[in-house]
Amino acid sequence: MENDFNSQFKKIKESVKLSEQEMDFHRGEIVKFMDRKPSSFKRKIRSPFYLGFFFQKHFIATGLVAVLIFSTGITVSADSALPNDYFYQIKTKITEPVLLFLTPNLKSRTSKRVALVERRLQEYSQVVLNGETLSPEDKISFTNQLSLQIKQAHEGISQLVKEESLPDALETTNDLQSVLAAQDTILEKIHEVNPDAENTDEVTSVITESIESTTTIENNITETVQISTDETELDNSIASQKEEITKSLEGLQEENQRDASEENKDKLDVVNQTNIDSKISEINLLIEEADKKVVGGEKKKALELYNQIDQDLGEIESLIHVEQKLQIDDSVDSDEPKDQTTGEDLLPIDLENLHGQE
Amino acid sequence: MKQGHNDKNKFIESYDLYAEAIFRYCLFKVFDRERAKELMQETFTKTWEYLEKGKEVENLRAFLYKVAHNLCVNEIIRPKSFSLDEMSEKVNFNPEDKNSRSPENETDISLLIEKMKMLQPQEKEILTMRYIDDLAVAEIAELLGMIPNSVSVKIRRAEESLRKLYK
Repeated sequence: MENDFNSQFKKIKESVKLSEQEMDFHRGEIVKFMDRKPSSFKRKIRSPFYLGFFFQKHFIATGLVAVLIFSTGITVSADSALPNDYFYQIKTKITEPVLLFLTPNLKSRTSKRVALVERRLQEYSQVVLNGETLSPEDKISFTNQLSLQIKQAHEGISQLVKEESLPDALETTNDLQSVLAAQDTILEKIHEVNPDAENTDEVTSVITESIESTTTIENNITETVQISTDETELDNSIASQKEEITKSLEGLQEENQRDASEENKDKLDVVNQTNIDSKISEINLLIEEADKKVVGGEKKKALELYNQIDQDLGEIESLIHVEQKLQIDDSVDSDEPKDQTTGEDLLPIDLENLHGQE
Repeated sequence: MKQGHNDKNKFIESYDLYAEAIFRYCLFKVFDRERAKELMQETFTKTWEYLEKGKEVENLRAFLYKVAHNLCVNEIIRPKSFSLDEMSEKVNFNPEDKNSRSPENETDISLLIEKMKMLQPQEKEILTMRYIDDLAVAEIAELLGMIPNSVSVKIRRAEESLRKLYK
């Protein structure tokens, strides 16, 4: 079939042609246009010691923007800017790179990059949730920016591997994976609520691809740890993962208890409370199983389990925090659709089926 | 353009070299032969204007594709689908080409175009760039601001989607 496609594409290529008359006509039009406009290219070859850029308008403009940023409230406006806002470029192209530059070490920088990926996806979810759309240009620019930031997060992780900080690399990979999986689910849910919302196919496709590539990276790191002849490398990774899981689980349980004791004030109940309880119980069982594997000497299998637990926890955390991070329009609440069969809100995410589509 | 681009003749030579490819690229974006010709022409005039401002273009081919891409994106996205006959009429295969005039060939090509139109915009774009415009993976990556690996994956997936549409 592939060969068939190739030959058919070739046929299209050969068939879709401009006739000589058409070529001549458009050539003539272009020449007319060129004659109307005087040709005056000003390309210059610059000396490597050229300092003129200090005085060029772009540099001056950038300087002015920098002055504005540091002396006025633009950063404040830019910080909450969404992809379809005027200040968005300032946030992504100026403010955030500066913050990254100021972040001291590789581990923190890579974590920051993961946080930026999460931020990008939350901004996009916010746009979709608001029922707004991105112009084609904004969408291209946004998906490019998102792909680039995911790529940079991957590069940071690879660098951590090169520097042999395997536990850190694994932890950051799990964080990234959780962020991607959670946002994928969130976008899907928003679309269930509002089928007319912005078409998210392009962003979802970036997320899906990134989940795949992050899984490959994660497998490579796990393999590196597993084939390491140094037993302490494996022990360190397990210890680091366990520590991370314990912290996450404690935080999640605290938050869960707090939410359960408070009246539900959330406008958008993204995560179903009962499902969180059952997911936590499930995770506790998995932890027990992983612990048993460690005791039984099956450390490699244990590490795989801990990784999975870490990702699941991260994903739940991201989902739980979605209400806090997404600013929900009041009108969304009133029009919330109900499941025809159960009468329940469609919004709560079924944690049991988080991986249902994988 | 790296050298001698202060020469109109050089620019016209570039037109002779790339016009057809840019036209094809636009045609598979807007599916309207007349509009694709206009967009192709506009791509060259916009590029000329850009060069006139004294700005540098390292890779003219890639630059032309970028301009064409932006122009096509600005076009109204047409939700209506064309019938096969309309599609063939709009794409207007070269009547001089005897091979493509055989009914079998025309049906194959029309069918492929129809299927291509059903693909996601990016899948359609990436297949056009790879197989109709003969761009290398690295060139597509540069044009779309992606990494070459992602481009390869996208090509494979687009082929898969196309194959599914044939089933």
